Amino acid sequence: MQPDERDWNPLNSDELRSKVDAILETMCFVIADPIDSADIIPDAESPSAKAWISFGTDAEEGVLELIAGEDFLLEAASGLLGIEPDELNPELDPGETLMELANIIGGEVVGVLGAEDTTYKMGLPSSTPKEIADAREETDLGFDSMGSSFQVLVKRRSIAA
Amino acid sequence: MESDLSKMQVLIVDDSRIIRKAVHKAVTQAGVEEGCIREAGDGLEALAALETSLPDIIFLDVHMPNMNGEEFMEVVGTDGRSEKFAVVIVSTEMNAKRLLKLAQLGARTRLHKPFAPERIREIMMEICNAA
Repeated sequence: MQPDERDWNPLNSDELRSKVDAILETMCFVIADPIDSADIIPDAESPSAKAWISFGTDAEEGVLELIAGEDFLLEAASGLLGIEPDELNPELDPGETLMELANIIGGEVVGVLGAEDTTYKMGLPSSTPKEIADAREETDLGFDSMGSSFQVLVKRRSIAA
Repeated sequence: MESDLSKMQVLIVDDSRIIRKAVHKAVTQAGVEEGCIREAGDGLEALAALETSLPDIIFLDVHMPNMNGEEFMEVVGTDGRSEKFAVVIVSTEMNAKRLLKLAQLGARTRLHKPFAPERIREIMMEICNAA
């Protein structure tokens, strides 16, 4: 049974976009431009990396998925650690940066949804895919920095009482 | 006169190696000597580090496997050790009840992620000046 429409708290995508912008700029020193996710073209030469984190309450469950282009992630990792891209550990730093971005952006997602007053359970960031079947709401935000893309996807669904 | 942070003993507790590295770098940029900084990957490793010596300041993540930040604070808050060092919660956590509980267990202040590296130095100066 779908909970009453009045109980559903929609995610404000403009507010989330602004939070993601601030995270990228404050912690990773990346200035990203907003783009339409439909314009993101997968680059076979430069594969994307992905990370997931789950969140939820007794009334809903959700998953945040991040998809980052290789160059975007190198720039973000370099900014986060305050070192040059060629000083990064390419095996560890970009992937761990994406996981941490999942953790921080996940925190902001539940913040936008009202985590100050509502207790949300957060999972740990993971490189293992997580999926929400029959999502009631999907939010898809695209970003670009110097030709490399970053995509933020949030899927949520109600849990029947 | 500015406080000298160079000998301040710092413990960074976070399951994310990349965040430990970022905080570590910010702490050294604040003036703390490399040999004064230790790291732990979760609450259990942090408790083990406390057996060696007590730090002046702990940067503590909340969401960690094995023993999370709240469980760590329950241990050091109950046995009184949290009075001997300043705990800075470094987290995305914004639930008012959880933050209040961490404060009641002895956490001194909070560094909300995302944070600018300069905030680490500012918080360390505030703690040093209040001591």
